[in-house]
Amino acid sequence: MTSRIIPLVAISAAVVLWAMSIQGLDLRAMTDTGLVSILPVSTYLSLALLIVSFCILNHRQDTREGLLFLHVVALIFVLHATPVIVYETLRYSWAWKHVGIIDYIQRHHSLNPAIEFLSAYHNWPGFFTLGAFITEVANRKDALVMAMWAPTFFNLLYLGALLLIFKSLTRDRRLVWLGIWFFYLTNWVGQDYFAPQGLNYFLHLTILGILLKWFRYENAPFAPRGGRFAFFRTIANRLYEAGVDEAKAVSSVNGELATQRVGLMAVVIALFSVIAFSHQLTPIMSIAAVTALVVTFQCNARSLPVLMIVLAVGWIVYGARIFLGGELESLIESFGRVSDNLQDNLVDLALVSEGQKTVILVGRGFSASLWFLALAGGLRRLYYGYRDVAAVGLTVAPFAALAGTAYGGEVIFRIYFFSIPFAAFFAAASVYVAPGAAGSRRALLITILLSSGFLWGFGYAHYGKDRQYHFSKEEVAVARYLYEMAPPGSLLIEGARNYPSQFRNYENFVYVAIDREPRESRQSIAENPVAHLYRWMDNHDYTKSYLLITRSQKAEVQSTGSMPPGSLDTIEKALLDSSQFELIYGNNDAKLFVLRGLETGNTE
Amino acid sequence: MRSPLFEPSVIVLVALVMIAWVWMGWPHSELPVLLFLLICPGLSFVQMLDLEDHATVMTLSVALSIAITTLVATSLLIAGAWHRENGVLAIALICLTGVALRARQLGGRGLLRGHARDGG
Repeated sequence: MTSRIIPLVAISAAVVLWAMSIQGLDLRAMTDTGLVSILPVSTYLSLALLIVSFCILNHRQDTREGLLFLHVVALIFVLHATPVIVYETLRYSWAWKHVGIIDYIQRHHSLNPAIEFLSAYHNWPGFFTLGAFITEVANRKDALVMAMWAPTFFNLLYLGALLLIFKSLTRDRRLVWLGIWFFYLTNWVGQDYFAPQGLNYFLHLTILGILLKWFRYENAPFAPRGGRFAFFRTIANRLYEAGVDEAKAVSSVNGELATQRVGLMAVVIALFSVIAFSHQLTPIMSIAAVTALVVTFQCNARSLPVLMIVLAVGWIVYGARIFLGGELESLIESFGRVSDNLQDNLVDLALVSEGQKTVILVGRGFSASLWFLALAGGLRRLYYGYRDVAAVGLTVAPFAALAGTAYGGEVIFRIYFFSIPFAAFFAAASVYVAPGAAGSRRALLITILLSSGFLWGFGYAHYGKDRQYHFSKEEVAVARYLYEMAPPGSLLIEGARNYPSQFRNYENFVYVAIDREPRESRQSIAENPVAHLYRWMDNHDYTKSYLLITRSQKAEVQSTGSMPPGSLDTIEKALLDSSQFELIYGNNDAKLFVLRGLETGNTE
Repeated sequence: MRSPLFEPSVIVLVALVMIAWVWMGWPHSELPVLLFLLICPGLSFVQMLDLEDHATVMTLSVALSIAITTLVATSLLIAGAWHRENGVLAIALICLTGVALRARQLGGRGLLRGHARDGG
């Protein structure tokens, strides 16, 4: 009884301490290292309590899984509900754009695959139609609240799928739960926000869980006989044998397995069908992962990759043909450009601020540490006689996206995201290598230290850009005013793309971001903003012209070094002093300008 | 041990409540509707798989519910029949279909009669 009460008290104390610690934080004191710069010591104490309690509990042999489950749920809340409660607005600019697609569907009751801006979302609409449907059913005007809680909700969903996967990879309860624990502590790349990938990732993991649990070979795939393909058959059987001990131990073989398999395969096909029309990249990742399982003889659904390719290509040819027509050339060009995809993502550290330099270096070091630990764990498992062919295949499979996508450097984060579950599994195996291995105090200490190290890395890498990723209520008020009152056919000049953007009536605008202009153009604007921007906005091709500068735009420009420090402040001051521009709505954090004499509005 | 009729009964009840709600006017509380959309359509089919682990059943049910709701919503949009009432009714009917198939499955195993004899 006491063994259950103490962990429950620890979880409760950690959650209460955390909830109290994040009240009334001063967001304006946030530096360029993000949220961690304003979190009080009590937040770290609550996390330390949670880590120690989990590690001790998981280390013991007689622990109930329910308690471990509660610890992980508490960790998910602390990691992902904190920004929701602290910021009170939707974090991350792209999430606002996704709310904008849902808004489009709610207003038009249709899609426009040929639309000029964000057309990919109209061509792979599954996530957005689901979001629009739920928003309408929930009697909500927009999807903002749902989007704010999406990271917490998605991560809770992942937990069920991860349990299914990890329990198919090992019988060791400690390895299963430490792997899951490490997954949440190392998933820093922020791909789990309100976006098609965040939800499709859950469907992807569920597919893998089903295949690993119910679609393993029960016997060697080939009869051992001579002939031309004897060598191939031997290799196939060896691969099968490598994964057979764990697979047979965990699979729930019973008399009704054949019937179950039919139903489960129907579930797999239904899930992948939705993935195929909801996101461009996830189908590639799913196909790569399932193919890795099939070719290594860890999955007996040998035709499944072919069916998945047919479904994915079928949607592209039918549903996304308009997008494909416009993007085909760049897609073909990007195919096989592995080195470009790698180089695109390496931020030039000379351009960014000192704080951002720290954040970026911590992120890189953090990822490298996970991979290093995973390698150590994998080798240790190998030494103990485990041949984790399935897990190795699934760790490596996402790298296929390097060769076959047009995501540029962004793809590195996606690859990391899709590899983490299996890297985390191997990282956990560096501590708990086998069920029978002794659970020494040293192992317990190592899990506590590793968890603390990962948490430190997560804090910097995940929340390190929050000075620009969070938006104040003042910024939201100005953006809302702009998007609700501007007529269709308007020109919107933005200091940068990073602000609460495109979340309402987004198709009414043509967007021009100053920080994305060519270097010469940016330089001209910096030298003479009034004359240059007046020329842009005095354009009768547009119904009206607006210029918006916000705090988060300035923060992004400063942290990325896309323009010299203070550029947007200089432009803003010049426009405020100019008689040619009029501030129609402004506050401390955002200012909306038009050309004088053309618009009237509110200034707070 | 829980009766094999428990889940089907709950799904039928919830689906009928949803249909009544749509018929009589929209509910003021959205939470029951959301729980219905995220659990019931998937559970109505996953229960036929006779899986033992509750966590697995819930995971597959939620995943399949998301897939079914997405398919229904996208179909309505593409077909030009976008209305939340249409969507909820379609999903309620899918749930009832799943339950009917489950009842047939249990009937085939003689479990329905056995359960009735046991006083269930």
